[in-house]
Amino acid sequence: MVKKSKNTPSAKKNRQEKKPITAPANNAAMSWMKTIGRNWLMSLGTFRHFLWRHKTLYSMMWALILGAPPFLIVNYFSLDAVSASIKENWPVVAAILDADPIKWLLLAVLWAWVCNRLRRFLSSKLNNAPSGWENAAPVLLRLLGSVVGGKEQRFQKALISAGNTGFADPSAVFSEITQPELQMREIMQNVYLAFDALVRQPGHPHTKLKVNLAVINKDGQVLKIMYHYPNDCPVRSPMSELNKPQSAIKTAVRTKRIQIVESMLDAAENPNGNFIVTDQAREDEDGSLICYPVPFKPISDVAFVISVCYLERGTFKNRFANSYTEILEPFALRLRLEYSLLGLKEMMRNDRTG
Amino acid sequence: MTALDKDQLLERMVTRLLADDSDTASTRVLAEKSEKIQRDVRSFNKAMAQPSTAIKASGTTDFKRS
Repeated sequence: MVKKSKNTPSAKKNRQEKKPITAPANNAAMSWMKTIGRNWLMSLGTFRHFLWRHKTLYSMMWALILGAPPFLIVNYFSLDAVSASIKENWPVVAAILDADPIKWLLLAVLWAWVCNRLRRFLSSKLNNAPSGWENAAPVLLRLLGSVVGGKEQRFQKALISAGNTGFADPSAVFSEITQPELQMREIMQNVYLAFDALVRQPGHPHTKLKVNLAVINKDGQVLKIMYHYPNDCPVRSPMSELNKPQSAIKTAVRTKRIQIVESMLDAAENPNGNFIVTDQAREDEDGSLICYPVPFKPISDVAFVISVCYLERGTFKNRFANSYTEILEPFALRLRLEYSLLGLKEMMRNDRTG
Repeated sequence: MTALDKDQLLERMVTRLLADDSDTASTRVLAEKSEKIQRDVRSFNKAMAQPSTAIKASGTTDFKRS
């Protein structure tokens, strides 16, 4: 497997994120507590990464954490030799245990359950990638391959045809092998399939996930929602609603940054948020939304916004923005390439007609 | 070549793109594709977990014969 370079932008970003957060001098007690808590969690995260790289050590430590306290408590109350030794060497521990033997025995029984719950809670808080993301690399590899696959077939066909009839008109060959609209459709379909593979839980219907591409004009207005998947779930939001300044798409265009709405219902209640209900018929529908702007520097600021919606609250989380960007950016790059080709074809058409 | 200014070009590109209203994939088509991708990813992960098999399959052990 290819080892990730330490100097990639995402690696740098992650390193920056791991810097301890220092409390401002005039902070209130709560803020100070939060800072301490977050620094502690970050240290724990670093420790966890160390343990992940040393799996045998991790297993041994986990076995020790699970087994040692119940072993100590049960033996303290059942074996005189152990009890005497603890009283002599750790009088404070002995005093604590003697204070309420029943409570400590109960804790010894429940210890493994408490530890497992705590571990699950901490892992969910410390995870720096969404669950299911362990397959992100093979999914991306597979789907980017299929984007190239269609193009490769067209190139082959053109080559065979040129072999039979000769290479007469280069511009005709260019027009034949470049089909930007077709490729953009293929790219968006693969965005759907990527999130379907990574986000959709087994048993959930495919209609829970919706992906589309908003075409933006040079004034930053949404012109049309294209390539919506699945196509039997049509886009019902009117353009006037999508073009309101607080809509997620417009916020993505304005800020030129990925927008993540963890819960559409919660966000709709926030008057200064980055989401408004654009279809009143679905105002009770909750879900999670990502809006990813695709800039096209040569002639406009933001040319497209990719929207990914999953009809279950909390599916997408703000803290995993880097993970979503890692998936969406390779597709955005290909969209930009195809859009450039579309521009070149338009210039060629203009040249012919003009 | 006739020159097109940025605004004209962008306008023509957008018009061309918006004209593409060809049929896109339905839930059934996407479900079939999704199944295939899940299978491919599973077999990819399986192959990566067995490097010796992957090397054999790619034919890189052929040098032994030469």
